[in-house]
Amino acid sequence: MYVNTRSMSLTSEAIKLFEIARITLRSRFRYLWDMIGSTLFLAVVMFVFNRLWTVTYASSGDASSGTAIGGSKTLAGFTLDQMIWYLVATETIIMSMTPIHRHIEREIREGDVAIRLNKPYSFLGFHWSVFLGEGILKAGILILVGGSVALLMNGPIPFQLLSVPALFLTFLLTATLSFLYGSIIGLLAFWTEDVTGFYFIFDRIKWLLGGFLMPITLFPDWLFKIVEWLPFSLMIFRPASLAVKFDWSVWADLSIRQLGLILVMGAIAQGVYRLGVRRLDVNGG
Amino acid sequence: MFRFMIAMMRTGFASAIEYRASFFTQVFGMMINDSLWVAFWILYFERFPVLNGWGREDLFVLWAVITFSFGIAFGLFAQALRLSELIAQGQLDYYLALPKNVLLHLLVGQIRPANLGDLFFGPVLLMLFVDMSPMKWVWYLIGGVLGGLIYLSFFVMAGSLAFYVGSSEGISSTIGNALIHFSTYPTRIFDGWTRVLLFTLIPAGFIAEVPVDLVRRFEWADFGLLLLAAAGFSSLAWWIFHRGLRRYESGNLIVMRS
Repeated sequence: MYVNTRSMSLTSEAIKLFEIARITLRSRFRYLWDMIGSTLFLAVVMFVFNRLWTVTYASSGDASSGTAIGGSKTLAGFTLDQMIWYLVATETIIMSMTPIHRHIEREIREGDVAIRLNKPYSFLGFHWSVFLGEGILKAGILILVGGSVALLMNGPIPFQLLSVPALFLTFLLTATLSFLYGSIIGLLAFWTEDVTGFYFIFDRIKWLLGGFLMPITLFPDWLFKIVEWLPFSLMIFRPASLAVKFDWSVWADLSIRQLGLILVMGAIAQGVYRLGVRRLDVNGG
Repeated sequence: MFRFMIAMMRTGFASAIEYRASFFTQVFGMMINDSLWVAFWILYFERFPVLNGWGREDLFVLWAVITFSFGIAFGLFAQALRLSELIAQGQLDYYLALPKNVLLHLLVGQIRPANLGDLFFGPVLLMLFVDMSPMKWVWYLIGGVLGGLIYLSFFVMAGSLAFYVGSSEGISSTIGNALIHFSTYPTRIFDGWTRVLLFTLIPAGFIAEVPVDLVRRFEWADFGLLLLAAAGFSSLAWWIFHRGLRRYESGNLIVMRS
């Protein structure tokens, strides 16, 4: 009986969170053109990346930094076209994520967190659903904008259509990891009020060591060995390189690792939230 | 006018530093943010030592210049980043009612601690990693200030779009971000029409390339060009803003200034 009640409450929580994500997705559709306009900046970013890596590939002719396979030079396992599409993927991952730390920080600072305490859903669950709902739409637009630039400037790369559902799942797991990472930073507002400084530090470390601007396989060996053991590559490098070089066994391995990390980070986020709520003083009025 | 600017900045600084912990986390947070960008370039040059004639030290000078310029432009004149929002929401009324010049008064109205972090980062980077002679420091500071003036002028022009098209926050920030993005990369990776664009419509070349050249190997011609560009862009920004101001419609908002 206890198990049934618990599983029913979990199901009803899941339905609520799904509905929140669905409503967010629908409401953001109303501002579709505004979103498309704000993602046009990605075209500039991709243009600059194209120039940077074209020059880099052209000038790195020595055997130590590049190898020619089938007529096209590869650097750390990426041809130029794959590199550009890899950067489309990393940009999509990063730019589709709303600054959740800022939303949570504002709710805590302005006391809005108290309004959520008596709602029939969890605080983090609510924000996660909104985050995913918005992220899915943004990612779709970003792939469209970034992909168009990559197609125009570099052309297509081999892509399996069957991998789309698997990659969608990978996106959801990756977005969940980013959400948990950002929300832990945001929840620090229970203690510090302003988390901007923490955000700059932790988010940029994630960018750098996660392989946002270049694949971690281009890092010096000593750094690569360290970075491989850090969680950041599961948030950027591995999902992005899977998107350009899809392989089912890599996908399965990545999904297991991401799920494991979600469990750990989810527990940390929930723990920080519970500790923080204890410090909360709610004044009526 | 200069005394007025200093007085406004002093007030803005006192207001920003009121929350000390927040102020210093923002300043140091931005400095760490900038350090990580530089770390990316260190990793890049570890793998590819030369990029179209530029080495690691050139990139240090580039980042020292652009962060210093950015810090001057938006650490000290932070409201330039919100110009389109202020215009679209009709929040210029306060400035119109006072005897000082509207644009100047508006720009000096706020200090942004995070960008003060940029302002400090540039010189610190140079001190730590680049061998600088006293003359190089002089040209660095002059080039940085002129670059900051170009950043500021460009954002004033982008923000002034709101006078003509109403709510332009999205497009203004996209245009502004394009300039920032182009200026954080060595402009020598671009060629043909893109280079023409970078010295005209999106003047990243004057912010990222010419000041770096002044430090690396000073030439009067480069200095003259930079001076001319800074004077030209700031005059154009001044003209566009005041021209647009004629079209301004009040929002009849009652705004509390803090």
